[in-house]
Amino acid sequence: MVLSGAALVAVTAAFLASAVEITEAYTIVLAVWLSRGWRAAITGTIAALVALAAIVAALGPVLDRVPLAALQFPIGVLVLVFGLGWLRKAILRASGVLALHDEDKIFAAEMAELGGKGAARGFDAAGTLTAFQGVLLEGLEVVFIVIAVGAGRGLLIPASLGAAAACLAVLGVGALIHKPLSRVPENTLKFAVGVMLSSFGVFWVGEAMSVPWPETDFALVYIALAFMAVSLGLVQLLKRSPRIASAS
Amino acid sequence: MNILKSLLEELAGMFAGDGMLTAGVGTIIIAAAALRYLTPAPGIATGALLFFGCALVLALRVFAAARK
Repeated sequence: MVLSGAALVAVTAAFLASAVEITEAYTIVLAVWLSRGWRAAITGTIAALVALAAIVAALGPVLDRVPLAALQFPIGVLVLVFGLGWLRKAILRASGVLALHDEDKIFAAEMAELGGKGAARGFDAAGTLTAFQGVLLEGLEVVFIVIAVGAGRGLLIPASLGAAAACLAVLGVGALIHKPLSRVPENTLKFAVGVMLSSFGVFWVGEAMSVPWPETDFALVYIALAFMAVSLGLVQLLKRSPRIASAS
Repeated sequence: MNILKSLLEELAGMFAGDGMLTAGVGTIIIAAAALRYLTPAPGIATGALLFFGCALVLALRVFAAARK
């Protein structure tokens, strides 16, 4: 199967974004596992996956019935806002204005909080709910990202495969090392995904308005390169700002 | 109840974590639609407005956060 440029960007964006979200969910589930026991971690995770599957099963047929052209504008707007939000945060972190996301720190905080809730007799509601909430919230973002990068051009299956591959990769590494995945370059991934989602957003909103993008198939690539250049420029500008340099 | 609240907060945070960014993007999209449908400007001008407008909104929100 030969992937088109748009499908390749969709798979990559879904893979990278899902890797970020699944890493965050893994940290929470691991903290539950180590502090409250495997039953609470697994019960909460399975319950959240069932809830997510129900959401996907409910949304899937609806998306199938809506014509692609009608989806492009609303999804384009949502993905643009979401992508620029990620990009903004990634630029602020890369330039030192905000602290980098630290899985070890988050893991330690979760462990402390869960450990303080006392031992459970029988069903561990606190541990199960923590795992359920963590997986559900991060999973919802994965579902949105897959829909966002896939639905506007009929690329739901390649995008889902990208997310599934990320899931397997993160959980595979997690199962091997059984520690927080603090070496995952979370901000670099977020930066790349922010660039890709923002590009998708601009492209789809433009397509919905019948913008005749030059070299249509290549448009996503040059819009992404332009966003990348602007974002890297902003990081450099912020790093050179005397106020920020003195603060860091 | 707490889960539902967290869920709604998460969803709101995904799209309106920075309200000014969301408002700025909305303004750019409205301006682009006006340019496309209310003026004889070529279609590519709408694309350029979408990209450069969003890049400007991003830069303004980044600098606003840095100033804080």
